[in-house]
Amino acid sequence: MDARQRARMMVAHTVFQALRSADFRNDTPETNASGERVIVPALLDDTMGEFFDQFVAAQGTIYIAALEGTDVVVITMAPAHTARHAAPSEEECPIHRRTELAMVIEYLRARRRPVKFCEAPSNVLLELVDERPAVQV
Amino acid sequence: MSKQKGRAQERGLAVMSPAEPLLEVRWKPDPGSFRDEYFKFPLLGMGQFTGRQGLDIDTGRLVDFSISAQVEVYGLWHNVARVDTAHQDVHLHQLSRTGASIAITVLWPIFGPQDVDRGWVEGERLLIANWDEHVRRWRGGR
Repeated sequence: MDARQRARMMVAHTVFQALRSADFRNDTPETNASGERVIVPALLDDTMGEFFDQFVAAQGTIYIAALEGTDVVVITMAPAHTARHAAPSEEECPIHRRTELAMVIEYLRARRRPVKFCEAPSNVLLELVDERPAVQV
Repeated sequence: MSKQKGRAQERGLAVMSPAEPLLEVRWKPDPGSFRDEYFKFPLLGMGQFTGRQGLDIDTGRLVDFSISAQVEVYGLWHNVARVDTAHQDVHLHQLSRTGASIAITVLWPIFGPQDVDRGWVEGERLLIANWDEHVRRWRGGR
């Protein structure tokens, strides 16, 4: 294993430990088309295109987990459902396939609401798990 | 020997009898008392972990599990090693290219949910720490 692979395995280890906790499982409830909870152990300089490929393969929601120091940051990548006749959004999207994960985390923190991933052929919503509102409506 | 002295000696005698065998009562969760949740951890450029958590319906406690380390070859995923709680033990299986177990290491017996939880911690540690070795052995056909 090279240094990046070791770092990725460290994230995987952290996710394994987190998955023992009911709170973590409750925060990551969605599964893919096969009924699996998909969590991608990520490094902060991984690019979004790699996660999008995982999202396409999963055919459903995936979670991206990374370490910031000793803290685990989790992002949800979920199918976005828009109304069939909704007007296209004028909002500029700063996230592209080559955008690094660290930038996306910072952007989501600053924005404090989900963001759409623009280069996807299907709509994808990105959201920070730990900054979700306590009650989903 | 007087009767009194004989009784005194008799009281001081050690009882020499076979030791009673220790009962090893292994534990497994009652069928229907837990639900299965499945997971997958894709490891970009390396492979993936997949598996199952058996969670007690009332408490959410981990009572059963399986974790597999997998590599992809020509679009198909293959198990190279697995840790599970079958047969009331925590086992590490090393798997061949045909999927058969070529080595089974019993990590410890399961006497309660605490042993399952300990098995999850040690099992994932073994799969991660020995990832290279498991993959090399599997690719080498051993």
